[in-house]
Amino acid sequence: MRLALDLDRVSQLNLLKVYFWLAQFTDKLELFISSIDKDGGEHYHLVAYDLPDVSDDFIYEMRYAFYDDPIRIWLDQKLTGKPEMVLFSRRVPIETGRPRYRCRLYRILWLPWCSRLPARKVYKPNKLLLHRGKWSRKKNGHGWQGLSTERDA
Amino acid sequence: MHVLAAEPKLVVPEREWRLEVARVEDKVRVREKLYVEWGRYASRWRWYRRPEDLERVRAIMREIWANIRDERSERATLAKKVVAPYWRVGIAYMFRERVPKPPYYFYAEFRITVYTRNPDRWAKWDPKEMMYKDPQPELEAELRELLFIASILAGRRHYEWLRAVVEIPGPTGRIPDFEAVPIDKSEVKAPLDVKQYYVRIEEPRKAVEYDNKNRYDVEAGRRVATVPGLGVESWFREYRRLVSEAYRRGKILSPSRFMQVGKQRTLDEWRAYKEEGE
Repeated sequence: MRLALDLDRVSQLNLLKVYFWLAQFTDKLELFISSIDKDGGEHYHLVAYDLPDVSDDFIYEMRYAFYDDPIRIWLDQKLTGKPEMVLFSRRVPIETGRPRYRCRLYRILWLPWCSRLPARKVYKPNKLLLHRGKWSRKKNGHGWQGLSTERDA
Repeated sequence: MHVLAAEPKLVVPEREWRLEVARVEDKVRVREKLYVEWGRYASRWRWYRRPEDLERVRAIMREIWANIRDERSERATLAKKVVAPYWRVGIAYMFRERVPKPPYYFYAEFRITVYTRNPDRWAKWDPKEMMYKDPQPELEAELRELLFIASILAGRRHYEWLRAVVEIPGPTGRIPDFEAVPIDKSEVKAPLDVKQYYVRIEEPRKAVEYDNKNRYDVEAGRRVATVPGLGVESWFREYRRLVSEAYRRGKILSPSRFMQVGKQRTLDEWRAYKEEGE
């Protein structure tokens, strides 16, 4: 069984929790960062392969428990002809009209996960770890700004 | 802990696979040596300014780049030798009223999905990122054509819907959303390499889903018996009939060119074109 989670604005602790819960059942895990909001809210895609087979209802329950986007789960439950657990690797938000690609994270522990010091500014991802064009784009002549808040389907 | 694809299966004998991996490792090892050489001769050029050292540095840099290119191509072939057995390639185009969360005042979704074992046929492989990054242009053109057909047919049948689609403002030239993922066998819901069309229209009082064969009434919560002209596949037939009829009446000079324009333009561009004409 495959489980594809869309983690929108999830806290870092919950992301780690979900990742390591799933890591108990499979070693085939993929993690992507899809976008970052202006206020620092992060959007992740987490895909787990080769999980034990369970019923559809149990998958939906698991997805709720793992902080998946509830609207997405509700649509998957309700609709019939649509493929389930879709995570787009290329998105075109209506606001910008420009394609946006997600970035694969090769390590889960790449962030400074906890610190006793308060953050002095909104976290800016390391350009070397991520796709360069995406983060180095400047809007309106100002410095780095977050991406749009459009949620992924 | 991470893998690049689900259920990786070797498509070549394991010996060949190991040789390929060793080849990539050799490239990396050679490059490490080259970096050392680069530093050595760059330093000599800096201190003694002998032109042969500079020549050597330039040759080494060229060699390093050739090595990097070779390694990339070898990694691409390596990735092709481990494949996931089933893939889902899908593109989608979604209109919505500018509200961040549902319920939207109006929502329309057009989607083409293909289940396949040969994703190269439907998507473009990016060797640098090691992933399928974009759909093949034919698939994208087909989605644009579907949008075009829907607007034409809706203009004949549901004027309200057409108006809603046409009146949504937005930039032109948007490319649809794309996914190419390895999936489990249980997730394959249709015959392989057959395009599955899916359209969903939601209005405040109505929500309807269309797919290849049937129409699903969301409010009734069941499939409505198939009616000719409601499945998305039949939209294409209907469109071809309309175009040939228009050609017969002399309204269109070239049916093939007309259909080609439908494939080239997004709905927004088509709208701008119409407005210019008026």
